[in-house]
Amino acid sequence: MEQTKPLLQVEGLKEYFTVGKNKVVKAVDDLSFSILPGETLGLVGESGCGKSTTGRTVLKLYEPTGGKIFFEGKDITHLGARQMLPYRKEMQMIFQDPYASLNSRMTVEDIISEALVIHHLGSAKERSETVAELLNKVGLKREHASRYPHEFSGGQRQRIGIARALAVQPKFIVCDEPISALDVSIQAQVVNMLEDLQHEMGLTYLFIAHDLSMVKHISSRIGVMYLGQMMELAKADELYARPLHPYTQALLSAIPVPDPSHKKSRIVLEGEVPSPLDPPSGCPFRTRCRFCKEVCAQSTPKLREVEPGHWAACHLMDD
Amino acid sequence: MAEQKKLLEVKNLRTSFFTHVGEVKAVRDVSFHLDRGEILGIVGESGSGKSVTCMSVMRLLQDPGRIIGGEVLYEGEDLVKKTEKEMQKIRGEKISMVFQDPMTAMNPVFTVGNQMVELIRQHRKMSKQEAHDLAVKMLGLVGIPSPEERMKNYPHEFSGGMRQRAMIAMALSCDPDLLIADEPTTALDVTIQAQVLDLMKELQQKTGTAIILITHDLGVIAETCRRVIVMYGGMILESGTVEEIFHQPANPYTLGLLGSVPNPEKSRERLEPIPGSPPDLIRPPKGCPFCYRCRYAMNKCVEEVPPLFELSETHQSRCWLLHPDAPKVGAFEREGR
Repeated sequence: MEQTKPLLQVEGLKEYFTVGKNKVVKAVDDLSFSILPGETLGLVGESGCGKSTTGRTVLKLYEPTGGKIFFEGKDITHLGARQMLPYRKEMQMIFQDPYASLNSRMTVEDIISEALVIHHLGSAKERSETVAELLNKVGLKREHASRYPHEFSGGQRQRIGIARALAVQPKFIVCDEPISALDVSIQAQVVNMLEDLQHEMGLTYLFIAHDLSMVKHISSRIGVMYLGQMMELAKADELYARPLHPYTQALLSAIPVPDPSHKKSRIVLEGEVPSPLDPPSGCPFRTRCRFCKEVCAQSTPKLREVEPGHWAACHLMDD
Repeated sequence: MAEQKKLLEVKNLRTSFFTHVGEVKAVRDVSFHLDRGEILGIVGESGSGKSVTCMSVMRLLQDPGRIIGGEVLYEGEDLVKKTEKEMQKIRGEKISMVFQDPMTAMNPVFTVGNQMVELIRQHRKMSKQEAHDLAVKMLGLVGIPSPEERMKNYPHEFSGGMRQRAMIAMALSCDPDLLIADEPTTALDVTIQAQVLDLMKELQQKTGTAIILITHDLGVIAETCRRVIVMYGGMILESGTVEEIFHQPANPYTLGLLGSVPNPEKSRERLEPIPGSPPDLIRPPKGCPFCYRCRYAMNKCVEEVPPLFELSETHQSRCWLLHPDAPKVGAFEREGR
């Protein structure tokens, strides 16, 4: 692991939004992680935990409030729009809602080739050839290129969105809930396709989702977020087999298992996620934690490597 | 014995939407029953007809939707023949419903308390004070902290999970015999989903209310229900107890669904998606609705809709492979029967 350099590295990333006059929402607060080339990092958490904001900030769709983002070792945190352009080609995104993320007045060909035009890649003829190849790659047909998005089903639209992201041959793709708007049988089709494409093109994914079973399926490592902070980060199998953080334990026990003979003790969390406008002092999870101690209210636990490759932010892990 | 226990019996229900592009056959010949105090799950993808079936039972179909055939027997009385006025008495009092989206199911300009009191007084002879007290009690029952104060809040002041709890409190306030829950936890986070499902199971045990739970999440079904109906293309393809459906599925579609979801308890294996996409219900396939996506499809499947084959007293499946003359398909034999 030490030999390979991370493709993307994030250090102490902060993304604050000002709401109203003096109120600040700390959507992402002091987040650090790295993604190795060719791996899939899953990011899970409940709504409002900052996982989508993280994905967008990493791509610099939001200007980070603090911290640093390195792509292939280069600091891209404060690059302007023009300087970012070569990096935009390397980093792409697949969006959640296949109905809202495609311009309904553009044909599929225009949608997919737009990025090629922006980056001056190929002549018009070559571009249209690339579009045909991409459509083929995502399981659509060449003749689909002249149609409009409304002529496709949700699953097909998501395929178009994926083809668009692949057009400029990126190295890194942020998948922001790419399957949650799709039907169960279609979800599996898209997930398999993402896995095949990763293999074929050597892609690296940041996979954001709230469907924990799907995240486990696709990810090599998983980060669990809560109120803008990383609570636990470990290999996918390790995280599911031996979750260390009380929040991860509760989250995993809440997944409904499609097997009626499966008996398990569910840890039901009391209450709901506190408002990010007024987060609790110390550990963000302490208001719902079964093991809350005095120290949890006083200081925020740091994310640290409890076991090799297994990180957690919890005072219980302190000796 | 069976006669006594049956609370609801739907027989050969057919519902269509008469749109300008043609008749959309949303529910085609659906029959099922529900015992008193039972939790029945209906699982299917969008467009499978699961919601329309329940809207038909409630007689809440909007124009251009119409029930064009069949019976809905509730305690032996046919709801299809009831007038709108008679239905209004039944809704809320005997049968109530919880909808998917807790954000839009309540009126934003009235307080939660106001809406609950209105509903209770519509169905029960109660003074405002009595209705208020009952509403507070119900909100407390579904686990809303300080219910007395919360009565004065507007829906937007509640979080998603709390709104869904309030909806359940509202639905149960007239002590119905049947609660229809249409994707009640789909809009909620997993930890909140676990809370709401536990609450529904607990209330079912306490009050003896029968529940029809509509969902696309197989995990939710496995954890909550006793019996399941699998719908596809407006038809019931398989029905049985949860053990029968999850451990001995006897329909290629059910098998396909189970192969499409990863089991978090098992190690990582490649998913087996169902190819293609659901059928167009304006021109549904002449035969089995699943025939064009089914890997075992035969000529017969394209020609003729298979009947429901009885596999046990509780287990039925609509598939030609179960016909005595059908070829024995290896994989299906092994995984299925």
